[in-house]
Amino acid sequence: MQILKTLKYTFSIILILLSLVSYSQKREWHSLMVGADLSRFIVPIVDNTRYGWEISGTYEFMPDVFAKAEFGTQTTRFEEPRYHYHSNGAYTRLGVNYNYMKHIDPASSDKLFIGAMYGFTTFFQEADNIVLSSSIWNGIENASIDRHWLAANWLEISTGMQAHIIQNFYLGWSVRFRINIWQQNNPFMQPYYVPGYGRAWSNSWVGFNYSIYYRIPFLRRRNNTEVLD
Amino acid sequence: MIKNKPFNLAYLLLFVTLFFVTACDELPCPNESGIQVNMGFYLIENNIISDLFIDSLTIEYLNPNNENVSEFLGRQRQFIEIPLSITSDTSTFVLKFKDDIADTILIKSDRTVKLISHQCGFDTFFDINEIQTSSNKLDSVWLRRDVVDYADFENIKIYF
Repeated sequence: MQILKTLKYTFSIILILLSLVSYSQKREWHSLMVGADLSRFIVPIVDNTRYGWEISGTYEFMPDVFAKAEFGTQTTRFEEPRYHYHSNGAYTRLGVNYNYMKHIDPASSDKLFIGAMYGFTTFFQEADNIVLSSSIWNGIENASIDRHWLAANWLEISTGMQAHIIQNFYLGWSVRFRINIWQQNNPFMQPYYVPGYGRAWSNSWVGFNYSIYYRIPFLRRRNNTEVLD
Repeated sequence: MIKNKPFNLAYLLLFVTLFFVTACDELPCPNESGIQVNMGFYLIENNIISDLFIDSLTIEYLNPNNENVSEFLGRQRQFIEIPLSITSDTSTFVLKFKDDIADTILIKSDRTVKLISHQCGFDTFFDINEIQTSSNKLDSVWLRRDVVDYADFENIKIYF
């Protein structure tokens, strides 16, 4: 239910952004790119407790200024000798990137950018097979923490690049510095990993994305004539 | 091809700095002995309360399954730390003094399982509701702090 709520908020914000973008369609510069974070396929190989996916959409609404939306999910699951932990949630990041690379060749579309984003997530967590023992009292107690929903939001600044590979395909990476704004906590169990953010107990975190992008061929208006981009 | 503004080193420096700022670990785990009730011994004499040091004290923990565990504290102690039962809301133990006199203390508490950290795992925290004692040598008890956690505060004062 909370994931649906996250999706609902995401689409509402995207609709607002699109309505702003449609205002600027008299201009000649815009392009739409969709992407997928490839690093999310590498993460489970390095750290088998986390897996998920992330997609993005980028729209150039002013020269060298891009509105960007990212949506993803993350599952964290691990089994320690004294407890089993599971969390899952969806997240959204919305923000703006600025391309500061200037080209001699106007056909070149490689980019170096800096950006700022706002991220939010809702996720659940639960723990079972909690084993507590006492040698003094000769006892073993089993416990569990029921599934409960939490939320968090954060700001991030990023820098990175995007290079044209072939036809409409691009590859790019970005490094993101995230600052926690607000995180809901459960009195009995702190989350392990906040989807889209990082380690829950840290007020700041650095993330990395390595993404492939597809530039959607897009009709654009220039001096009252339509050309295929 | 880049015309101007080659990759700005300032950005690299900024992000390298930020990376190291955020590369922190969780706090270390609390003490290994776990969560314990802290008790202090006091002597009431002529309406004056003074610290009491007890020598050669033995604590016997009364398990419901009759597998009692005894702990001998040889040196003089004014404070003792007692773990409460993680399987029952009632913890009963006997203080055996060197003159063969013994007193039983029964502590009723609510138990809450909480995560210390993902590195340290879970532990049981307690909230003391009631204390009952025999009075062979004990005079009275005062529940000073009902929350039992990793804090080093005195929970119970025992008067003789």
